[in-house]
Amino acid sequence: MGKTDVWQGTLALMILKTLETLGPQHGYGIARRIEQTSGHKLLVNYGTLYPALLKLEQEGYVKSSWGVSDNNRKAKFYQLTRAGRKQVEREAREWNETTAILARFLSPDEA
Amino acid sequence: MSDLRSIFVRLCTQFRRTRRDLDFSAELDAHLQAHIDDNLRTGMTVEEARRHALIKFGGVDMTKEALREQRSIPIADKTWRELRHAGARLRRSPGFSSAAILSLALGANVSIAASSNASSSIRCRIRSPTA
Repeated sequence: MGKTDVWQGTLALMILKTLETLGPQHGYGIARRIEQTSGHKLLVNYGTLYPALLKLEQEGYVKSSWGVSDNNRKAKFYQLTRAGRKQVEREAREWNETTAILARFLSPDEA
Repeated sequence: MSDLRSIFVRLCTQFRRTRRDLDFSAELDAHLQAHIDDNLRTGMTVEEARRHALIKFGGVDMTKEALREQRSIPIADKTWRELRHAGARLRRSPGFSSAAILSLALGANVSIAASSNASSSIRCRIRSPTA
């Protein structure tokens, strides 16, 4: 199977979940982590990643500050806010419900 | 609530455009540099590492444009740009501009005077039978 772009509407949750797991992280780190977690089946488009990060920041779910990366280079780090933590919980719950409903449709015998 | 906050933040950043643009550029540069560093660690030459990072990144300008769109409110941005453009054009030909403004003002004045005249005469006619 080839690599797929991240599905519409799922990137924000992936970013938030990555930040929850890894703590403060820069855009490049977030993208690498998402690709690794998906077993390199997903391809993060940077033209979508950065606007998504900015949107999350505008909504108050993440905050950013400049810092120094492992390579001793300047980088902008993103971290979850308290509202962001709540949002991860809420979105994860919604996704679990959605996938459970879909699963019922895909395997009607078990319904 | 988060939507309202987002609109408010976008309205505020409307006036700090240059700073935000510089911030985006620095962030995207840092991203590319981190990717190049990673590629160098895998044994690529500097040239190869840079080329691969740029290919993977895709369009840097496209990303900047998408960021600019997300940062601002496009319609406010557009209106502000149009107003500035109109102002610049008016300043470029002051003779034509003042003639146009003057005739608009005159036209508005004439129609206001005519309508107020008409309304007062109608009121007079309505009142006269009872007087």
